[in-house]
Amino acid sequence: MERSYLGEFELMLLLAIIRLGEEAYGVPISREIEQHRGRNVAIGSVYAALERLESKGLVTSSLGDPTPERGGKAKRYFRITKEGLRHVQETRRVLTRLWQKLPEWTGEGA
Amino acid sequence: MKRTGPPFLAAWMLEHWTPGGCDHALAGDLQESFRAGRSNEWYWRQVLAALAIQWTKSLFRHRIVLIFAAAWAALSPAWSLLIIRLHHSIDFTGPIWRQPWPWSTVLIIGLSTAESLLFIWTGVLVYLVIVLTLFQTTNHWRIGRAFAASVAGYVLAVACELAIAAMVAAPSSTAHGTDWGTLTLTGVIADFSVWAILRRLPCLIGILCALWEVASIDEHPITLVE
Repeated sequence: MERSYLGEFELMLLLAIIRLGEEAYGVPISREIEQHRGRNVAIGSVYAALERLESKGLVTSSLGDPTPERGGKAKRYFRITKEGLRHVQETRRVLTRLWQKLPEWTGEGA
Repeated sequence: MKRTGPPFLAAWMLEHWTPGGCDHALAGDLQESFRAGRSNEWYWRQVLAALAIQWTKSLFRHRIVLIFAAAWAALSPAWSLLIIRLHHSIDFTGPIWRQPWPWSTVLIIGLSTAESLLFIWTGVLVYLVIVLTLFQTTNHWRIGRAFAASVAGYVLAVACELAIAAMVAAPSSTAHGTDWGTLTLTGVIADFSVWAILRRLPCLIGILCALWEVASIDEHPITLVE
């Protein structure tokens, strides 16, 4: 099977979905990414990336019930698939190995 | 001052200008965040970013439509030349052609519009036959809406072009004495001067409106399973 690695943003999204569990929809996913990146994120770009991940079979989505504070619009919940989880673990393994190969470098002053 | 809701215009743009229809989950997320204290400026930025992303995706998805429409519109000067040659072989002295004003003008405008629309609709049919039978044989075609869209797009584009031409005094073919008898089909197709390109625009917009209507069914896959 062809092996494809996750992009930085895709990996962040999948990690956010794992962390949020049952509450993974647009608003908390975007907030999670903003908090850790330290800058604003366009929710439209989050959806675009999530749709790409869904088409690759790495996440699935389902609609919740409409709520009044959202103007009667439903939340779209995302969940990671087994394949998505496998991709995250594989990417983590590769990145960890690469980091371990770096000779006594702290990343400061680079 | 108490805020009642997100900026009306931005919300309206998101609802109506998103290609393929508004993403209600995204719209709901933006509304929820706004109610949680996000600013008007934040809401506007999010809407503009969402529209830019969706339009980029949509244009890329419809790249075959864009290429075909541009290629077909490039042929429109050849069609005009053929029509002019045809006019030279028709006797316009009969009573039907000698109407008093304003019917004389209506007749001329109607005839020239019909000739252009015939070219556009031929292009739509060619697209449907070639592209859709090759790639999407089971689609339900929205041909009626496509043809209506082409009329609306073409007429609007011609009206805009005439208004702009009147303002900037654009040269017409007759004004600088074009001798249609000396022009060749390949010569007019290969003419990509500014005015030649501008004359192709109504045709391009007409066919683009029609093909967009036909191709937009790709963005609503659920409706195809009816």
